[in-house]
Amino acid sequence: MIVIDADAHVEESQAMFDRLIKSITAAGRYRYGSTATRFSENTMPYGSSRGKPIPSWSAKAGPFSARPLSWKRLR
Amino acid sequence: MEAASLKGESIGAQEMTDIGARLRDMDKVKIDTQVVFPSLFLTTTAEDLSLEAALLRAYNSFLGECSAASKGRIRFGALVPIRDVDASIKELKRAAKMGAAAAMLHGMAWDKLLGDESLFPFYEEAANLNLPICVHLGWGCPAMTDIFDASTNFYSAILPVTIGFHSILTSRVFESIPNLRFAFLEAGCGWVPYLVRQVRRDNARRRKARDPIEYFKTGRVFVTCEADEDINSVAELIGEDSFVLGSDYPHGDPSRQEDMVAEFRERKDFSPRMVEKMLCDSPRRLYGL
Repeated sequence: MIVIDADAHVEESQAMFDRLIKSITAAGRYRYGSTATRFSENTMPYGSSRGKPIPSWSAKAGPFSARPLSWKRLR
Repeated sequence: MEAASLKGESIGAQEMTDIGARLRDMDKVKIDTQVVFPSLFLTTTAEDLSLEAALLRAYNSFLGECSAASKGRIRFGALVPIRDVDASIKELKRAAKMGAAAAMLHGMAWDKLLGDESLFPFYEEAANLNLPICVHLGWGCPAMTDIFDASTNFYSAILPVTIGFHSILTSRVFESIPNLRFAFLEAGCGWVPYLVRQVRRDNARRRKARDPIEYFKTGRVFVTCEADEDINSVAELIGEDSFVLGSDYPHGDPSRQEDMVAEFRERKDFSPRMVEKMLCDSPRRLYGL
């Protein structure tokens, strides 16, 4: 019989997003590293990136509304 | 970093950047397979839909690589930008090829109830792929997150799971999509009898769905249960075959069940057969593993 843990978690790390950042930067959809529009107003809440600033993002064109959410409120 | 470092699990195991460490942690507590859900994405992350979709694709790709590296011992709930149903269908198909065992939603899909029929095409695709919809604790409705102080999970993260249950069980989704399965995760099971009563009342007027117990007993609806609950009294209502167990590893909140397998196998208030159902048979049926 295979024992299945039906609900475990991963703590997202910067590594998870690094390739994404490269891919969308290459596509020109978003510019990584700008402080003009922030992905979050706070810091990475989990894992080894906890406490580090969440990458900030900005749209190259068009409206952009990143949700300002204080991660510290969540856990 | 400091909080993560204080946990018993290594950073690499928590992040799944060290799959070997993760698998060793699973071996220690006799878990063969984990179905993994997010932490950061337990909340809505970006109002910009295309940015959200890109973030979720990155997550699914990362988890797909982890699943492959684990030789299938790690599976995952795929994340989708549910405000765009067509994009969600496309992403779910992609994630299914990479080892997804489910699609994860919150108790509300932003400003929509889960029983909203505009979401049915997504549910239909999940059923076609033999993937359940897992409604997980989380902050999926920004309006609710804004209203309540999120320092407690209850108002804006746990209650929406019960709202999702009510919305789904009073909708016609199970009658419309024959092979669809739903699970309600990390909210316990003690609320089920109360919600069954509420659903029955509403269904008596709406007549869109069968009695909710039928969906439990036919393997369409599952719920996680936790060690400190009166599981047997809930089982008297819904039967023994709809409970699954989640460790919540590596989180440190009250839902964490550190040595879940040993703890439940040592319990004297459940039959050994019921425990094996919760640990093995029911999650296998839920996830189609």
